[in-house]
Amino acid sequence: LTDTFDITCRAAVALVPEYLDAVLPEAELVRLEHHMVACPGCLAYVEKVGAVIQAVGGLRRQGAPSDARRRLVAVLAAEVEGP
Amino acid sequence: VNDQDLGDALRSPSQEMVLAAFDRHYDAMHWLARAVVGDDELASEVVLDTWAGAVRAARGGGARPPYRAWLFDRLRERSIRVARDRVPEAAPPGHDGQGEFFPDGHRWQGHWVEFPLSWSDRVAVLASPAGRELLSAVIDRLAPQQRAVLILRDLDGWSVAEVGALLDLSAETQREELHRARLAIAGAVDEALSEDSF
Repeated sequence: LTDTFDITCRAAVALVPEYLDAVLPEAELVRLEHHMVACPGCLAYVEKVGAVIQAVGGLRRQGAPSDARRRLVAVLAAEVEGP
Repeated sequence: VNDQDLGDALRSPSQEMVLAAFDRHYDAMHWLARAVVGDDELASEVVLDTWAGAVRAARGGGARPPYRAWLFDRLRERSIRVARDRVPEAAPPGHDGQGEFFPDGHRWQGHWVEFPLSWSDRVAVLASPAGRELLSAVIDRLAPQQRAVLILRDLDGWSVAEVGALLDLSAETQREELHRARLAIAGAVDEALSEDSF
């Protein structure tokens, strides 16, 4: 197994944060991507983190709750009208 | 997100423009406020008060770019003030989800002892109402700095530079915190789903 890979899984995993931030230097990017082609464990690791990113992004609601919108409108209207 | 658009909306007499900007930023602000004050309704109050105060300040000429950082800085200050007398939050989860590697000297040193679980079926599960509830609960238990970086970067799509300006964190520190947060979530989700509660 060790002869198959240019880097160990531990070393590959250490590169993943920079890989996900798209700031990994070219040479290390190539090593990591080659490693992942041959290593289902590291590929699963990257896919797992990617799935978390996707899931967290999916939590974002579109727009404020209607009650909050109504209340902001009321506050702003009261300020325009004055005391 | 165009920062100038936010500045224009904050100063605008148009209710429609203010509400569009309020819609765009409400969720991330609510998440961050809740992380500090520890309560949904109180967080809603904090967000509303922050917006009312920000609009007032902006219309009086007191807003300065970058407007999103300015707005969120006001949110943080208000949240901290509101939370000051509340009970400290629970400790964050201890596991980091990193997995294990064979030790040095072993024939397969540095490689996985067991491959991480496949997450191919997790995305759909986490998009369900129960999955979203689980994710929210896990995020609530993250360490405060990890949670703030995660919410701004992964939930609300802020850039590294914007988060750096707001939280005074280098790109490297953000990367470390974000990765720890993501792994903690993955570990907690694996743990919860392995209990067959879904």
